[in-house]
Amino acid sequence: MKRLLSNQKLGLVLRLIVGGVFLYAGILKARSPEAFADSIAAFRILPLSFINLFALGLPVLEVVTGLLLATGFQLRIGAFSALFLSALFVIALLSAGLRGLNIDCGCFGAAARSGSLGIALGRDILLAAMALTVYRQAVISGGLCKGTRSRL
Amino acid sequence: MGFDGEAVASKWGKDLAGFTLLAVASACLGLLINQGREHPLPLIYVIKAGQSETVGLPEFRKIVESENAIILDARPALFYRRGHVPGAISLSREQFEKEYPKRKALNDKDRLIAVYCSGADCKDSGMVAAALVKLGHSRVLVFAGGWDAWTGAGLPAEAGP
Repeated sequence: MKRLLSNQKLGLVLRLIVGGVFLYAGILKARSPEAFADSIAAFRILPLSFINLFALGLPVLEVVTGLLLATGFQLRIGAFSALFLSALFVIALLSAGLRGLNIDCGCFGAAARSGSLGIALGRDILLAAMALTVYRQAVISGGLCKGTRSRL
Repeated sequence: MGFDGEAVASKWGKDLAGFTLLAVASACLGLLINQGREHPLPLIYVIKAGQSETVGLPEFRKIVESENAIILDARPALFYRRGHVPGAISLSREQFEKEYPKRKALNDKDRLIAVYCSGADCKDSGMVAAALVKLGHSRVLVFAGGWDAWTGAGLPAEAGP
């Protein structure tokens, strides 16, 4: 198992998948920040004054994270960002679920209905696990992956 | 799965710092892009009238049982008298303008308010909620299932004025 998780090829594939998901989700959200702000508001976690800042900033952060992962530039930061964000999404979805909120996750913009919160939660846990594997590999290989320097 | 702790722990602080920088830069870039949009998003989120948040039965029940929130019955007063959610106040949609000033509990505009009407198809709760948001109430929810869902679940009711 440990050897499999350290496999460079697997790392590359996972990094492209995670990067692709972040790019896709970020672009969809960036296209309609109003709708994304409504999705954030529905979670009732952030105070009103932070919702729009999040709605504007998060999609950009997702796109940048996706680009870092896909290109391998500053891979450690990109992988850390993917791990941090997916963990954040998992916590937000869990909290919404525990409070019995009947909302759409807004994961891929409001237009794309993403099914139940449970499905979204499962998907985000999978994403977090993949991001963790990529981050772990990036740390162990000292930030060198496929010949790309990615340390701070 | 082992996480090869030391290698990760020694540098994750640096990664966190890098991520923070990335997040701040993204927020700034997001704000900048927003300024270039045809209709920029305002900096502070505005709850849209007529689009109040809805809650399901489990959460509504918790709100009712907490006794901290104001529960509003948006149905005509006759229905309210025949039976309503325990602790609810009547504020029907038809009589809204006349009755609103009399409801002293509504003076505190930051208190949580949950509105319901007869069932999932009625519009009264949404309209009352929208009117309350317009009047400056900051935390207004609509219990979408309404009276039908409440009684359907066999939950207690109160009758009278």
